[in-house]
This record gives sequence, structure tokens and C-alpha cells, in this order.
Amino acid sequence: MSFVELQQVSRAYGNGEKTFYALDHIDLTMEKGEFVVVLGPSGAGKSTLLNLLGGMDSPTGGSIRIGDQDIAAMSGKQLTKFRASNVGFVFQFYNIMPTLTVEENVGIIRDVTETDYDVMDVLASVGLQEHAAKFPSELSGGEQQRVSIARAIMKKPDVLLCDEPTGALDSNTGVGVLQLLRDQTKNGTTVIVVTHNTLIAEIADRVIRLKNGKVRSNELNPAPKAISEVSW
Amino acid sequence: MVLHKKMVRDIRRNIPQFITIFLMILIGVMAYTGIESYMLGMRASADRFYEKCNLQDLDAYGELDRDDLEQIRGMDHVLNAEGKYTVLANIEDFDGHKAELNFISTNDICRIHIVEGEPYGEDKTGFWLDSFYAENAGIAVGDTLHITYQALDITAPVLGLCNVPDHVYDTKDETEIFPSHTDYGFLYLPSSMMTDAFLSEEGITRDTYTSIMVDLDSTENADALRSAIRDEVANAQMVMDIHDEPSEGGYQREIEEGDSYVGIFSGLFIFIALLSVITTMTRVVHRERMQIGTMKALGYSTRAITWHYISYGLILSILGGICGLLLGYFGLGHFFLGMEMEYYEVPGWSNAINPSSYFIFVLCIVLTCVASYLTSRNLLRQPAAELLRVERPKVQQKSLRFTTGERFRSYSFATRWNLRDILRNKARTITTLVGIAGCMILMVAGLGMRDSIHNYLKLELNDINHYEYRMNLSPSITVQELMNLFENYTDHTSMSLNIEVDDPDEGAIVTNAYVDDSKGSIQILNTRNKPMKLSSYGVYVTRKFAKLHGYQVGDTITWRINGLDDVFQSEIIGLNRDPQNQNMTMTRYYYQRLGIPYYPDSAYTDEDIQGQSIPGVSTIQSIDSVSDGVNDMLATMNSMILLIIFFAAVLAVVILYNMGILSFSEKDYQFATLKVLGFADSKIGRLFRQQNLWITVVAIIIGLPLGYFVTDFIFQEAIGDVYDFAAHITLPSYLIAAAGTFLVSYLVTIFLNRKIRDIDMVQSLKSNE
Repeated sequence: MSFVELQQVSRAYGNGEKTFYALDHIDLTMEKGEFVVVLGPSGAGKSTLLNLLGGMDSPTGGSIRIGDQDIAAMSGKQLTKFRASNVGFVFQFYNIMPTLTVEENVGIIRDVTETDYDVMDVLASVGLQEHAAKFPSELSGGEQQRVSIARAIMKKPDVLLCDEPTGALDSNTGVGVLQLLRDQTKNGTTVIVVTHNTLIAEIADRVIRLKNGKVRSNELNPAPKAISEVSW
Repeated sequence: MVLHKKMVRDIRRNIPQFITIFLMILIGVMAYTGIESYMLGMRASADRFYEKCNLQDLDAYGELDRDDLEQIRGMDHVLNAEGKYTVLANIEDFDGHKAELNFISTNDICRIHIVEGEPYGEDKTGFWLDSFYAENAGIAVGDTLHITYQALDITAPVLGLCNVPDHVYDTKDETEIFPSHTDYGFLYLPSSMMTDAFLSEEGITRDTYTSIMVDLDSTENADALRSAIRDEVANAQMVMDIHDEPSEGGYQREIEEGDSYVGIFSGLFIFIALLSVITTMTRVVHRERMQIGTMKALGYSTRAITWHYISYGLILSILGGICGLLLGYFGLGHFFLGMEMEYYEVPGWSNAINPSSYFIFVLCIVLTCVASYLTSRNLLRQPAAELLRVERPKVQQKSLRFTTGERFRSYSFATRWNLRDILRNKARTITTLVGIAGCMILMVAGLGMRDSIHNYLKLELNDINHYEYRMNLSPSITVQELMNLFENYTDHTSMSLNIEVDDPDEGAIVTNAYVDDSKGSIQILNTRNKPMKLSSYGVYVTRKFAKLHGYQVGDTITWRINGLDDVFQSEIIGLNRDPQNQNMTMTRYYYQRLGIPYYPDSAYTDEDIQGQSIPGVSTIQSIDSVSDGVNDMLATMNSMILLIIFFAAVLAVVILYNMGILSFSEKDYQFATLKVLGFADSKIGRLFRQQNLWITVVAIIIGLPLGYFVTDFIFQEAIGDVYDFAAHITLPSYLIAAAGTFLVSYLVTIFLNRKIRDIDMVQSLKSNE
């Protein structure tokens, strides 16, 4: 049994003849500790897939199982708990709290779940221990994204969902961020990256291509490149 | 045209903010216009009445006759003069009711205004009766009244119900604080109705007057004529300017008192409203940053974009202002004035728009537009490309740095987050704080005024007046009648005198002196409102009199009794305090030592003498009737205070809701992120509530003492010189104001909290992008 399993998952908007399917009866599987890249043009359903996997939205049909939990059947409260304990998020525009310091932004996770990790250790792992007392506005974009990653990994998530994590960064900074994300798979975290950037697919263990709400392909990458080999 | 459509749709999209702007301006302008129009209407209505009925400028008192009248008529600047003979008569068949009977001849000065019935005519036989009293007593035109006064006994029909301009504020005597019109009124009748028996007993003719009303060519000459009549007309014992008479003086004092406190209330209302409108408008326009960038990129001129955003506020502020003017004038102002005019006999009263209301109306529009203009101008200074980028949240690290120290580490995430959010959004926080504190001040001041008047009543009824009945003695009381009174009823008496203090700096100060022989029936209070014992080796003046005119203990005060030539010099041996009369006080012993005979004009007793006819006593007033009069006034005041509190609460709700919405919309992407991270709605709700409740608590803490200071300022400084009240606010009032404000804040926050449940994580995070 795969770690992540989607069976006949749909996300429809509207009803009757005007029904629009952002995701149309898709089946997908992903394994624990995989680095998965989801590709597709705008409107393909990438973000919808991410939202469903993260419990930010519920499918209109089908089932989504992560580990031993069926998140499609969860109530709002259960989804909140699920997100707090199991899912890490990294956004394109970081979404970190402007009035909290770097250390506090990462430490905020302690308010929603228990974790064995130490904030300063996590910051050290993303190379930000020197910036712990700074506010986000004192950091560069890449540094802010690393805060976002540190916050996500602070809870040692089963699944780390990343929506265009390098979209707002230059190539060098982006590569650094990808390395950090890739490193999380060593702890058994399944990292799912949604992106337009096909080059990132070259470092993935699995590449899923979506189009018009359907899965065009779900392939394992037989020879993922080292991150140092990619640039854009 | 397209921008016009955009504006309409933007207004719809931001409806809570725009409703706030509309409501704030409406409430601010309405409160200001209503309160000001009521005060101005009070003055203007009386002036119209005075003008129409030719109110006299001076009243000369004494045993006057036709020669005196002609002498006055012949003086420079005198347009006309008319005599009047006034006595205090009984209205038979109405138990204990008294009427001020005024015998007149021609009626060219201080003309009778007919409310119902036939016009006055000196050849007619009948009465023209005070319409307010008639209504309370159930007397109508055509009814017959039976009037008696010593040998005078007249039964005649009521020919008309009327108001008279020198009886606008008409109390039975100086002990009646507010006119009740229940057992006392005035009556006018031609002097031809004086009976022979009456003329014979009084030893007068129909050309004898107790007062002569004098009409001058200009009020500027009043002081000169006052002195001239006093000096040249032998029988004129006292001459008073109409503005110092009880009627016009009392009315004028009410306006002056009102002017002082309504100015504070209306000013506070408009200040709070404008502050909120400016903040809202600034925030609304700032949120349009990206759209401004888009329009700029599309080629719209700076002027067109600026005008587009100015027109948002312009339309709403004009609409709100017009509604405020109309509701203020026709609604609030009319309502307030109507309540006030239950006490004052001013026919045809109407409130009047104070020109400053138009200024406030324009100010609201201008400030709303300036807020839009400045915000859009600041944004338009940036290049379009910059405006089209996502605005990175600005955090002034310096101002927040102190919150990262060791001490703050122990604080919860919510505390640190809210503290920094407050520091980061100072303008929004200050506006909310000032708004709620302002509403708190309004509530405390409203309730405080009520409490302070209650306290004054307590002071009058419990601490100063220690008797059940007060007898006002007739000026013509005989020695025998006085002896009988002492023997059968009481020897607790007092005397009041109209005096002039000769002040080296101010000249003549018109005031009064109280000569005490009440043996504790009237308790004089010291400056701390505690009972004091009077000594007999000098005089006392009230502390406010001393403060106003620069006297202190040990000074010598020079004074004379109106109508007498003797001048006295007395040492001030102490200061006392009187809430409603700033004067001089001395013992009977000291007074007689000056060589002046003591003729008491009041006597006090605890014996039940209600309804009795006691020779030499003109009226009997129970302490309960004084209390009833004040309670009536308090009931009216309660209605006004309730309205003020209601509008203050509405202001608080609108400010809290509006600022809450603004705060929420500026943070919703942060809330969405917290939701994504796994924060439960209830936890985010607490986070949001905490900040609002902090601000509310701080505003309450600020508002409580400021409410006291505003009330104290109203009573100590702004109110007329005759009064010496102090703010006295009870604990329940503070608690009601604080609990009310807190409840309003809590309910609004709970209502806004529902929005957290509705945050769409996906949409909120997308819109941030």
C-alpha cells in the first residue's frame, strides 16, 4: 500500500451543466520519503491537488488516504488537527508572520502541536541561526523562504507541500531552497512540489503531470539528477 | 464613465467601510446640529418673543406714582414707560394656589401674548391667565376665577390664556429651583378692576405702581439710565436691568450653562466621528494600491485617479452630512428643545440651525476628501511598476525590537503577536482607542451630570435645608403678625437682601446677602460641604464669589443695600459654599450690630402647615415640592442623557465594528496562514479578540478619569457663575459606563469573530499573492 493514495478524487465547482472539474476523478499514489514534482499548465489542477492533500479543501468525490488516515472523510476540526500534526506548507510568497521574529515564526508550531525539535537546531539546519532575532523584513527573499521551510519542518511532517517554492527566487537561491526540501526526504517526509518549472522535475523521484484536471502521467524518475546539476 | 461604474461597485464591495463613513458623518453632524440648534433655538425663540412683545429694558421698583412715571418718560433715551401694581393673591377654590396679580393699564411694553381667548383691553373686565398654570390647573377660557388679597375680592371670567415676556422663567419664589406651574401662575388684569375697598385699605390710587417698566432706545444706555432713575426718581428704591431679573436672568443662565456643556458633547461627537472617518478613508484608499497601479499603468492621469478616489468619500460625506443636518435639526434639536420648553413660557419656539453646523458639514466633507487625496497622492508618487508588486509588509524593527527581549520571551505567542500588531498599526489603534475612550467619556459625563445633579439635590434637601415648610413672609407683615408667628409656629427666620458690592476693580457687583437667624433650619456649609457655625464679628462670602471677584478671608468688603444710601464695610471672616447662590452671609446679630433693622422674609418650621392661611404669610412651600420640582427636571435630563448614551453607544459600535473589519481585512492572510498551519478557529478567534479587548480596557481606563474631568469642568468652569457644583459621579455610574462599553466591545468582537470561521484558506492565500 502506498503512503499517499488518491482514488477517484474530484473537486467540482458549480452544478448541473455548468459543473467545472478542477480535478476530475484522478487516481494517484506516492511513497513515503519521495520527492514528488507536480507539473502542469495554469488551470491544470495543481494547486487544487495541493489544497486537497493539505486538508485546506475537501474533495467533492473520491478518497484521499495519507498514511492510515482518510482525510476526505474528516470534519473541519479533524482536518485542523491533521494539518497541525502531519502537514508542512511552503508557499511561493512565504506567508510568514511579519511581526514575529525568525525564531518566533518557527516556534509558532509549538502552539499547535508537540514536537521534539529545537527551534535553534531547525534554524541551524536551514542556515538561519544567525538571523534568529531578526524580523522577516530584515531578510532577503531566499532567507524568508528558508524561514518558511524551517517552520514547515519544525513539526517533522509526514507530508511537506510546496506551492511554487522557488517562484519568487533567483536561480541560485532557488537551488539552495530545493536542496533543503530534498534533504527532508531523508527523514521520511514525502515532499510534494507544485511548479511550472520543468527543470525541477529532473531532480524528482516521481513526476506527476496534470492537464485539465486529469492525470496525464505519473512516472518514476529512474535517474534523478543531483541538485547541483540544475539551474535556470 | 468606467471609473464611475468602478466606484459604485467598489462601494458595494466595501459596504461596511462606506456605511461607516456615511453613519459616522451622519451621527457626528446630527449630534452637533441637533445640540447646537436646540441651544440657538432657545435664544432665538426668546429674542423673537421679546421683540414681538416689546420686553422692557429696565424695571424700577418702589412705591411709585404717576409723577414718577412721567419723570421717567421724560428722561433721555426713554422711549416709553408703563406702571404695574403687583400683589401675590390667593386663587380661591384651588387649595393653596397663588397668583401673581398684575394690574396694568395700557399694554404697549411687555405686551401680553394671547395663546387662547381675546386680546387684552384696558376697558375689559376679566383675567388673562398664565397658560402653563392654566393647563396644569385645568382652567380654560370662560371659566370664572375668584381672587382674594386682603381687602381685594374679585370674581371674574378668564378672558384669555397668555404668555408674557418678563415671565418666561416663572418660579413661585427663589426656593423653587425649576418652575412647576402647578400651584402658581401669573394673572394680568386692567387697573380699573382695583376695587375701592382694596384702594382704600392699601392707601393707593389706580395710578400707584409697585414697578415701572422702562423701554429704552438702545440697550447700550441701560446702565446709564439705571443709575439716573435710581438717583433722580425719589421713589425708585431699586432699578434692575431686565437681564438681572429672575425671568430673563434664569433663562439666560440656562442658555449659558447649556452652551458650555453642549459644546463639549457636540465637539466630542464630531471629533470622534471625524477621526474614525479619516482613518477609514485612508485605509480604504490604501487597500486600492494595486488598482491605482493598474490605472496608472493603463495611462490614467494622476488627476483622474485622485479625483476618482476623492469622489468615494465626497458622495458619502455629502449624503451623510445632509442626512445629519436634517435629522439633527428636525429630529434631535426639536426633541431637545421641546423637553426644555416644558419649563419656559416661550410661545412659537423653534430650534434654529447654528451657522457653525454648516461649517462642520463642510469640514466633514473636506477632511474626508483630504484623507482620500493625501493617501492616493502618496501612492501615486510611486512608479506604476512598484504599485503593481505585492506590498511587502512593513515592520519598523526599531519600534518592535524591545519586544524581543528576555522579558517578552515568557509571553504567549498571542500576546507578542497582538502587542506588535498594535505597535505596527499605531494610527488604527489610536483611532480605536480615542473613539472608544471618547464614547466612554460621553457615557461617564452623561451619567455623571445626572449623578451630580442628584448630589446637588441631596445637598439641598439633606444638608442645607433642615425644615419641612418654608413660609415666605409678606413684605407688609405687621409686628403683631410676626409676634404671633413666633409664638404659634416658629422663630426660625432669615432675611434676604439685594445688595451691591462696591468693588475697587469691577465697580458695582449686584448680588444678595443672606441674614441668618434660622437656628439651624438653614445650615451653612463650609468649602468642603460640611456644616459650619457662623460667627458674628464679620461676614462670609461663598468661595466662588471670592474666587470670581478676588476676595479672601481677612479682606474688607464694601457693600450697600439696594434702595438705601448707607455704605457698610465688613471684614470677610470665612468662606462658605452654596451650590446655587454666590453671595454674602452674616448672622442676624452682626447685621443688627450694623444698625439695620431685621425684617425676616422667611420662616421655617417642621410643623405641618400645608394649606393653612397664616396672617402675614404670603406663600408656604414644602420641602417636598422643592424635591418634586428637581425630580421633574431630572426626569427631563434623564431622557437627554439616555439619548446621549444611546448615540455614544452607536458611535462605539460603529467605530469598533469598522476598526475591527479594517483590522481583520488587513490580517486575514495571516489568519489564513495560521489556519493552514493548524491553528483552530477558536484559537485564532482568541487572538483577534484579545487585541480588541485590550484596547477597550485601556480606553475604559483612560475614559473613566477623563469622563470625571469633563463633568467636573462642566460644573466647575463652564456652568454659570451663579452655581458652584462639583462633579460627583457614583460608583454604579462608572461601572455602568465601563461595563456598557466593555459589553459593546465584546459583542462587536464576537460578531466579527464569526468571520474567522468563514476564512477561505485557499482564497485568502491566493489574494495575498
